[in-house]
Amino acid sequence: MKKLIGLSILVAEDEAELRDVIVDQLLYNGATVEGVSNGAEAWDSIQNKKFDIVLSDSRMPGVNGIELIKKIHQMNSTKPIVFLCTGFSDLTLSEVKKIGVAEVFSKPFDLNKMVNQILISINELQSKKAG
Amino acid sequence: MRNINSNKIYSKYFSKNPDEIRGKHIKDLLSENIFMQIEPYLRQVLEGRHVQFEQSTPHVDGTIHHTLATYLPNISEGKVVNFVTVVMDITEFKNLDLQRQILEAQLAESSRLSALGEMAGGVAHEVNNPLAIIRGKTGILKQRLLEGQLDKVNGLRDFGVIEATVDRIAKIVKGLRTYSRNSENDPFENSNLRDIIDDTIELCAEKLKAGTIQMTLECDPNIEVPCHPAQISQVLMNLIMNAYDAIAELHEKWIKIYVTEDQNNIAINVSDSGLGIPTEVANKIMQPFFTTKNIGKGTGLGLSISMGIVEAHGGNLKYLTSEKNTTFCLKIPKIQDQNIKVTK
Repeated sequence: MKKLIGLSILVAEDEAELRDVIVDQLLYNGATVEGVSNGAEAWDSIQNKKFDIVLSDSRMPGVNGIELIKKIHQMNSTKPIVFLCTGFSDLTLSEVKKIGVAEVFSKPFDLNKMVNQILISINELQSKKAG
Repeated sequence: MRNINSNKIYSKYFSKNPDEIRGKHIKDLLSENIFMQIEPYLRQVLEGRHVQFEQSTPHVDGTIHHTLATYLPNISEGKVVNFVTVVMDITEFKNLDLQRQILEAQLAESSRLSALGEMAGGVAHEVNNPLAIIRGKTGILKQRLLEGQLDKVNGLRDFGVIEATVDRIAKIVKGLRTYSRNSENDPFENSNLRDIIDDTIELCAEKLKAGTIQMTLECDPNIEVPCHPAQISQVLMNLIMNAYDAIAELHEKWIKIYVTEDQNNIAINVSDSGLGIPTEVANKIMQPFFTTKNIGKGTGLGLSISMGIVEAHGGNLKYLTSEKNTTFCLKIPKIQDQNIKVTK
């Protein structure tokens, strides 16, 4: 069942094999997906294209995930929903929620649960808009 | 062999008056047992030789005292007419020395563990990434199998990725084992140097990546050295972490490890993109408790402990002033003298 048809997702993860796994599963679920390997590349893509969702790792070389998420949080235009995928974060859950993270996925995570969580967040956002 | 004269302290040592001691035979002054122990030395001094020896003897108060005795012969017309005995009580010195050895071992251990603690976060991240790959791949395989969407080519590729990723985790665990093993009482073992360096780099990999530091290694994969792998790993880790701290804020960030060898020794060089250490600092870096790092960051023990380890291997650890870039050289012999005492 393709649950994510019509959604465009940006995946920022420096570990190529992990990025491939995530991208693969999102594509399988029908989303349009772009994968990048660090925060700087992600920021470039976000400025050139509209994404519904950004999935970002926390530790990445150069501009890391937290710095990227802070930049997204300060955007004036419509912001994508941001998810943080982390194996070891220096920030607490409440701290990352403050900078606009919808949900944190702790490595190693279940990709199907991740897909479901994305759907829940999208639905919440749409019902907010409608309400 | 009778006592001619003695000072107050000498007689006090035997809890007697100097008058009681004067004229007494040595055998009667000391116990039979002690006399037997010192007899060979007495024979030597009577042959006209200077004699010095250490001895542990029970004191009159029942405690064991360590003494350093010196016999100086007085020779007249080619004959030993008498000799002078100087005895120093070195008990306190001996006890302090023992305490110092225990403290040093404890410091070395805590420094090793604190370096391990510093890396723990990095190691957790390093293990969680491959676990996330395995978890993701198994989820994908299961779902596609259930939905009849799994073909042989893709399935086999995914299983291959899982296998390689398990091997990657095993390598990290091996690195931790190499590092954390307490090998104090082990004999030297012939070890593959490339493996020791690889294992150590694997442990630092995540920290280096987070600091965007490029690490390169040049080492013949066939070099074997007799050593304690955990201790050599500890020294390397210390050098890598020092390099990391030194270049963290530089524009150009790299660490290079290269191994060279001559007829007798293997040299492991750890070089970084820093441009050397000021002479006044370089002169002190091997001293215990000397640090240029911020309070709470460095103990000032890393290099002195490392030097102790390398010296226990019969080698040396030096800062190379001849190199343009900051370089430390760890040299250990290819063949170990089995009598070398190994301390931590």
